[in-house]
Amino acid sequence: MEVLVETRNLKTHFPILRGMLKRPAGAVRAVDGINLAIQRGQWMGLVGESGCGKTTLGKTILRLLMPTSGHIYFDVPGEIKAEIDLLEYSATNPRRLQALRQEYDLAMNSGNKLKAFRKKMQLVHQDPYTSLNPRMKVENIVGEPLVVHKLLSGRQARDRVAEILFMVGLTDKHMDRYPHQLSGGQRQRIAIARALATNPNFIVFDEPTSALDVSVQAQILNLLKQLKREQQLTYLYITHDLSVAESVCDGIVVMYLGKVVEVGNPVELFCVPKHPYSQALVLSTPIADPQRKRGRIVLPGEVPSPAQPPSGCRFHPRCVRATEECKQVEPVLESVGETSLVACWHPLN
Amino acid sequence: MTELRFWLYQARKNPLSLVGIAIVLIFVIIAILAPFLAPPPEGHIDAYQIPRDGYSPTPKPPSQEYKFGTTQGQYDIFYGVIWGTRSAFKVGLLVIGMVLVIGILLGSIAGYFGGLVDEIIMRITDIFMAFPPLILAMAITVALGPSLNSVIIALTLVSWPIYTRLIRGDILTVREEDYVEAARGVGSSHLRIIARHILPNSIYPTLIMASLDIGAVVLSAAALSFLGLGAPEGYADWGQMIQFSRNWIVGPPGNPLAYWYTVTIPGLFILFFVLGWNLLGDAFRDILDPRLAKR
Amino acid sequence: MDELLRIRGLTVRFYTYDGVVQALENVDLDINQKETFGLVGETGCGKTLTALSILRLIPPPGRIECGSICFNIDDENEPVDLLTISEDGIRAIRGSKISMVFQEPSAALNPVYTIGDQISEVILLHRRQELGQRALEAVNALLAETPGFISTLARPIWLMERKLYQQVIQAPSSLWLTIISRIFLVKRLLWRLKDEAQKITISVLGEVEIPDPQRLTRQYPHQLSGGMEQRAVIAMALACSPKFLIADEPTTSLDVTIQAQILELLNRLKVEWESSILYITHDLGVAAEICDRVGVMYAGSLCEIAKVDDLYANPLHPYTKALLAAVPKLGEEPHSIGGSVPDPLEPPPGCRFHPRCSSAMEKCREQVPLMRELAPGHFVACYMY
Repeated sequence: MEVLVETRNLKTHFPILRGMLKRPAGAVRAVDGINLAIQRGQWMGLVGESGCGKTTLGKTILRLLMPTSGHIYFDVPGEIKAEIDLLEYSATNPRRLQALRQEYDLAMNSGNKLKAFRKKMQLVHQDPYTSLNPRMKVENIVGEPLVVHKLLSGRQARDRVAEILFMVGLTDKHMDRYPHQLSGGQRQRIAIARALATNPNFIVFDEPTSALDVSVQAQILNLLKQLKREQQLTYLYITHDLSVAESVCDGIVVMYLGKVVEVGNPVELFCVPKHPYSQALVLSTPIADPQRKRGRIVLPGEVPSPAQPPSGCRFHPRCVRATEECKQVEPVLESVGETSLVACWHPLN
Repeated sequence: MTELRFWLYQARKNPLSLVGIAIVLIFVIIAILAPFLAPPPEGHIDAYQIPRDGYSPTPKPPSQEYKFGTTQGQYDIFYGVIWGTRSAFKVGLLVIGMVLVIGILLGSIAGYFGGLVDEIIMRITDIFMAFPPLILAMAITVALGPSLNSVIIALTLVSWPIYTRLIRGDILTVREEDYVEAARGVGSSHLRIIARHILPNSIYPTLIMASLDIGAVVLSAAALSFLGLGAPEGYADWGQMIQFSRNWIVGPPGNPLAYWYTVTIPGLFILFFVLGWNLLGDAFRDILDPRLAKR
Repeated sequence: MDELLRIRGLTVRFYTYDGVVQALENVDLDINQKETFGLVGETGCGKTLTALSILRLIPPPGRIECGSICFNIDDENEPVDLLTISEDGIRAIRGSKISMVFQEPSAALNPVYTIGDQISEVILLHRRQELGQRALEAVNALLAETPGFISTLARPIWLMERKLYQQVIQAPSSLWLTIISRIFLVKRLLWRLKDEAQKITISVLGEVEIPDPQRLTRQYPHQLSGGMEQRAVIAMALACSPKFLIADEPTTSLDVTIQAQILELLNRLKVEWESSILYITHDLGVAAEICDRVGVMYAGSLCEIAKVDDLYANPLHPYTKALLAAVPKLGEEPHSIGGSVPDPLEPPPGCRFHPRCSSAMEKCREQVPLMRELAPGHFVACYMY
């Protein structure tokens, strides 16, 4: 399978400014060295608790945030990625490296080049109540990408908007409404429609159903499934709800404090989690079945601040299996079995 | 249509705002119909110049010919207040208009881009705001030479920093909204984001303040005129008419109210003008404030 | 089992610009002693309004139109109707006999007071007599000590304090005490009340498993994480050992691992304190974890009430079935419910679910189905049975 989106050692740090002169006094390491590869046509789930950096990662990939360092590749052939890695490692030809990165690395792009990328990758926000401009009509909200990229105008744009609205299960009678006249589910459909307007290849969903009710959530998930099939889309689906990720995704990445701790397919992750944190997440997620009340491992303590992450394995202060090694040396992501990757010194199962 | 019904409903809930709308409307009609209400005498070159009946300093009470009497220097009070309405609108709307343009421009730049630009613009506003506004306005008017235009420029220079700050603050909160980020994600340019997404959602508090301020600007202009820094002598302007009446507030011994008309009539015009705009501003707030959602 | 709360025919309407919103229609609900009752439903179905009605806190332009809410304050007295007792009466009940935990812990705490101040305020308000008793004991202990130099000097003050605390015990809300507690310096004589309240606060914070409660009492809400804040809010709700705790989506804004901690805590506290919980949630998984009985609400009325095992194993109402099918499960396509929640301004006639119900009959469009007990403890409002 072909890799569509890839990040290499991606870092996004937010400086903490102190004092009158606003000197940087440290950094919140929201995303701290992430390697992630999303295959074309994959529905990748990104799971983690609030503050683990999952939204920051999503927005950095879309270049809505500026990465501190690292590479973001969108539809770049493997040889070029390899060449960039080699050049970076050997440091022999900085000019060639610079030129290659300007051309292919999304982390280096700006201006018109970035704008061209924006056509191909889109974001759907968490809260449909804040992600739609309250003073614009649905027609203009959905049609905005068409206007911005000068794709269509006038009558044609209106027809295209109607077509997209139909795709997301709305009708053209919704075109002249304002967002406040629509329900939460309808608004999220509008936000999805806006993301679809430019025929993108890749869409990042930032918890698109967490502000919605379960019945509406099911509608939206089914819609996403159908759109993905019809439009050959690739998804990065950010969520804190493991059960949603497991029911729809075909690959799951678990993040903790700016790091990836486990990558795997949903069945494996749910049934035989390898990282103790993934296990705690699985066991803490409530299941709608009173017969299956499980002996929950309640994870002690809380997520530490990403400004001062613990040394070694970042999960060790909350981990029951932590040893001296975990406190000092940071584990790297290694493959376990055929499909899983895990960053742990003492993986389960 | 439903919006309009909602506005009327809101207006009905607060009858005072209807009074405000009525007062401002009456003033608009007076200003438009000035040449018919108080036709300039034949051979009059400048319509804004108040016709006078001699040079006697003592005011004359209302009569058939001069409906509101004449003030010091025999200027026609009726003519003065009617044409003064036009001056008042001119000052109020021009100053607020210019202030809004400057404020929106600088405020959006400072608020949206932030950083060094923001810092520079904000420090300039600080410098302007460090002076007492009326004193600064006086100094500027004196420097430019007393005239109505100088008053307009001076008041604009005094009030723009407040508007710039207000707009900047509102833009700072809206800038972080998800739909602004969504617009960036779609690939919109900075200008488009400011014009289509940020300003429409942050401008209303400023517009409400502007409508409240029109009255205040006219009041300040009147104060400058009263101090002799405004329009040239004889120009139809409420502030100047109050200045004329300065010596005639109290009449001769035994008849203290003898010259009441000289001060009361221009005073009432100013009072109602300011009151009208204030009530109208309140009405705007009731209608436009998004926090007062339909309940 | 003994009943704690009995709601009958509760109807709440909102008189808005756009028309009359029928927020709650004829809600009948019983909550037993020492049980956790879950109220499940989607946004806008009236779960929170039911809870607010119990405390009579419906915001304007809402009005409780009719119905009764009978609450068993204790075993000796007759149950009182919370909707008809006086304003003072309901105020004495709020926070002491019935207390509430809200969804957003950061909004429930006042950012400018320390956690300790906020919790002891509740205690000072509702447990004055008990505080007076404790203070009196402390003063008596001091007076009983062998007289030394300091105690000879302080003796008159202690005697005065004793007098005051006796007053507090006999008539905690007398005018005389109110005046004293307002006068500068003199009010300092009552300091022991605050001191005792602070002690209770620390022990309550310990109850909710907060590490180092002593330190927490001096902290401000913004210094705490979401989970700690919610624990503090729960401690505040428990400060007066209520018989009935209303928890309105207390874990919705928290992460799953923290949610698991809070759920464990609530479960433990319910058993230890022998109180009942009304647990409001939209999450069927959470309800399955924590509740003994569950009621499902749709568009302002209850459609099914059953024991938790019955409800999940054998849902009867079509809405309950659809809701359970919509929950995402591993490897299963979630089934969505067609259509959308009805406009509360113009609810459909008859059963409010009929436009979305696959098995709707002619009767459903005309008449509102009533709650019927189909199996012991399993109530359904549907014409199918």
